[in-house]
Amino acid sequence: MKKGMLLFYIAFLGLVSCTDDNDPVVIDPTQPTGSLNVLRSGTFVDQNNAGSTGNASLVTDSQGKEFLGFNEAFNTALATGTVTVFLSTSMEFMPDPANGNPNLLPLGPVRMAGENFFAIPAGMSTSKYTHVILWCGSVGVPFGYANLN
Amino acid sequence: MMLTQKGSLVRILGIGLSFLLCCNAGFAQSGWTKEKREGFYQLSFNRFSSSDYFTLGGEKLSTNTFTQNSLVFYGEYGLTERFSLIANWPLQIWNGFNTTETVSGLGDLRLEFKHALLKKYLPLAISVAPEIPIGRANNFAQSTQNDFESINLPSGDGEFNVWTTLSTSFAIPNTPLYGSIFGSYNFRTSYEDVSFSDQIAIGLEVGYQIAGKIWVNGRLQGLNSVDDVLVATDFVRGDGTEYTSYSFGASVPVYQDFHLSLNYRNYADFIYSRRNLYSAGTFSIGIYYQVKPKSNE
Repeated sequence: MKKGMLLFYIAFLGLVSCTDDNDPVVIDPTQPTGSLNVLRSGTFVDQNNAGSTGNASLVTDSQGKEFLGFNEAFNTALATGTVTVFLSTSMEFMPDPANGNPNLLPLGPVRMAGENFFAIPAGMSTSKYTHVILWCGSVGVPFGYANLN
Repeated sequence: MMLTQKGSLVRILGIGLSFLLCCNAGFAQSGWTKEKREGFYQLSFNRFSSSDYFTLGGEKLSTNTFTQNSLVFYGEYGLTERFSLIANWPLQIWNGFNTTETVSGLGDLRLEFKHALLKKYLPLAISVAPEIPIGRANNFAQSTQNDFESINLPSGDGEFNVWTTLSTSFAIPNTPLYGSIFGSYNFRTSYEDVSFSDQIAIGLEVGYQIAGKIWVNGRLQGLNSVDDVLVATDFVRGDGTEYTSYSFGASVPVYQDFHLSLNYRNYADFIYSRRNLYSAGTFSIGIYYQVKPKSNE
């Protein structure tokens, strides 16, 4: 009886599974320097009771490099898992991996409340992107968006 | 003897953890306690999988699919004629989304101290059940879609909380039929400076024995948050979770004092609407063993 119970338990312990990673997303850790010039900005609209607040702005620094910045009032549901920041062509998260996700530009995870900056990858134009989306990728739900005007 | 069998049945069906750590009100409750030195021990496996998440505001979202499997030990022992000790301990809980790896860990230990206030005509019992946070309070599952995303899927909620329950039951003489109702209050504390709202649970259950062997039951339960939780401070730990659940179960003897139990549980909105909850059916299968005191044999 004891052996049977032990085998039963060990068999269930073996249920852990993993799958292969997809293409990696390259995240530029560069932070802005000098004074900032605001190009467009918007206020976060909360979604799904995530508590998203604050403002998002597209800015250029004194070196002319472009960033997406969140102000000191920024917050969202950060305790549970990774929240990834995207520039998007709409307020809806519209992935299309088969065609290279033309409507989305991933900028990386946000891990803390308050001021944050995300470097726009070199050579990328932000002109077609109208919104910032806070996306919980593991669950597949939005935590908020900001319309950049 | 009939009361003993019914009391056992009440406790064995429907012990199914559903989404994460919010659903301990799913435990059966009755007005009966065990006889002195009487024991009941069960090992069950529970499976739950859902992509329907209800937000704190009650909105239904279609998300990635969350799956939880759990292996749970449940034991009950009569210390005296009026006092029983009950343990409910998830030995292993496996959590994962279809977009993440599966992570697992030990669950929190619930110890219930149950005292029979009345035994003969109207069984009435009160119990106090602290949940000791010995499970994994943080357990991050890495995304399988990229190398920088993860989500916390703990197998323990990290907080100390205490369920206090008042329950009563009835049995019809010469008829294998019983019923129970209960009300519970869950005093919750905090984890990492996040305080959780207390909870109130109510429930009723009816059971019947078919052909002198197979016990079947139906159960209806509701869980309500005492405070209105408006922002998901920490939604994986069940803060602000509300629901109505219903379940159906059966148990059949398989060998001597060993019994097979089956249960199905699902959620609805007709007492309390679903909030902060993944909703779908939970399937449970278990084996339980009963130890009878010699004087009862």
